[in-house]
Amino acid sequence: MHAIKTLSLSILLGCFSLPALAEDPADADPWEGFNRAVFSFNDTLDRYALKPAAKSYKAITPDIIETGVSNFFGNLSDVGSMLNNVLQLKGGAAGQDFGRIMFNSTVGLGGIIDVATPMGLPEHNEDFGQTLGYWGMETGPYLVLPLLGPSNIRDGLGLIPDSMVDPVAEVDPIRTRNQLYGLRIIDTRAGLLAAEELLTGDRYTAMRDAYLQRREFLVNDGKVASFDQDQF
Amino acid sequence: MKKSIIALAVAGALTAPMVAQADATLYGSLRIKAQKLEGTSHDNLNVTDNSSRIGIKGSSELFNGATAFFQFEQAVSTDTGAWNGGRLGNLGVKGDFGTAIFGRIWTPYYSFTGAPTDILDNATSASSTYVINAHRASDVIAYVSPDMGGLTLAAAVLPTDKGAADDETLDIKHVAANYAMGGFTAGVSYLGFPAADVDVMSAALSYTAGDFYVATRYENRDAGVNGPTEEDAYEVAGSYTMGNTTLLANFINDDDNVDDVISVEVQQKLGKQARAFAAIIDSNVADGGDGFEVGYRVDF
Repeated sequence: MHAIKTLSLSILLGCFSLPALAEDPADADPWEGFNRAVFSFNDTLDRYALKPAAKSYKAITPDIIETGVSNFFGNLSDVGSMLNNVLQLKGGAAGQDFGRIMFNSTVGLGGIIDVATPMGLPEHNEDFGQTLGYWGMETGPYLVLPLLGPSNIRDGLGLIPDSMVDPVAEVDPIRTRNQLYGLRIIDTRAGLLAAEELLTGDRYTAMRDAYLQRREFLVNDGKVASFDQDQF
Repeated sequence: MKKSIIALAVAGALTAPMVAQADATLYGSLRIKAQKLEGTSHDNLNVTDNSSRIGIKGSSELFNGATAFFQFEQAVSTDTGAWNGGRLGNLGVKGDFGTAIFGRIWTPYYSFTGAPTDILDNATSASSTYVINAHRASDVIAYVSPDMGGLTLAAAVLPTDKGAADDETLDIKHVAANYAMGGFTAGVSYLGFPAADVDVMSAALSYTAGDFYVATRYENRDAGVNGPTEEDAYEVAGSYTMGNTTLLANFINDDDNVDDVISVEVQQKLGKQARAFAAIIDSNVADGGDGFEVGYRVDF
């Protein structure tokens, strides 16, 4: 699930791609053979199961309900974002995340309405992989995980603590929890349908480059470490 | 009558009452909140007033250079849409000698040793300061010294106390001091009730460093002030401001409550004169325990 979200961000960011990291893909992706195999598995699964499900969901659900569902899961993910902001010693961002959760969970009717953003509390998408990056851990080789999608050693490890602070995991009964997991996956995938058109050429390479750049962008909180103006 | 003559007559009527007036400011703050607290009277989602008020205040210069001032403030209720009782009604004079103030005022007890921790919008804030009902007092004659290098002294007599009928001339004697230096502010207060021969001592200390603020207060009430036994109360409250967002928290241990009270709150400024808050409250006070509050206020 996290990887699907990550993938969504990667694809969205793909259109702004800076070719900096892709200069020598062999460095970042030594396990390309394995990764391509897993990618192909994921892609097939997506084509025949997830994408049709997401398309149907989008077709039958009114836009306002889709937005509500996205906001609901966005509110839950703010919990992990807040904890990771604390771990990255970003008190201000953690405070804003706390405010988002407080206002959206109450005034926003359990997170269905995102009242915090118009109130001046922006969303922060922090996860444990970024926290590890903040403290200097290298990403390690690029890695495509079965079902979960593009990742790397560091962010793959980060998914474990992320899943431990995921509020959906606390939901009881299990049946409801699993329904929420399913809805979240479909909601995330539906959000990607438009962005997907931006992937051109070799889908594997395009997604990898987009993912790597997006992750660096997130770890640096949007500050581009090295900016080469000649490339524009 | 021609239209132009009517217009002239109207204009004349509007400009006529130009008499000398003291500058007066109409001000207020309307506050509403939704709360969901456990307890006998709060066990449902409840929308209620959150200490709304409307007032008038102003000042004018005296012949000798001092300033005469007044303030009249009413509680108003967003529940009933009606006036909701008096809050302040005082007048005084302020000059090089300090401030003399008469009427119904915020007491130095509250200003120096209550207000420092009364920084949250939710109902827990100031609850401990309001126990003895001396935060605002009526029929007070008070004197507050000018700022003497950070030190401010205050003395007051309150000829009304909590209803004990007696023939004492003064019902409450009050002295207080406040000292501010650097980021630190310290306040102490003594309230004496001669009729019952009991008193209330309180002290507060606060520290401000940039966007960070923390305050603590302590209060001791003799047996007889609020019930048959002696009571201690202490509070800690703090805030951290990031732009338009402020995070706040408080902790209250008051013998008047059956248990400690903790709340965590976020306040979000929505504009120059509007803000919202959301708070989680953990307490076991007699009525209205754990839960949350969300509120909105507009000041003018």
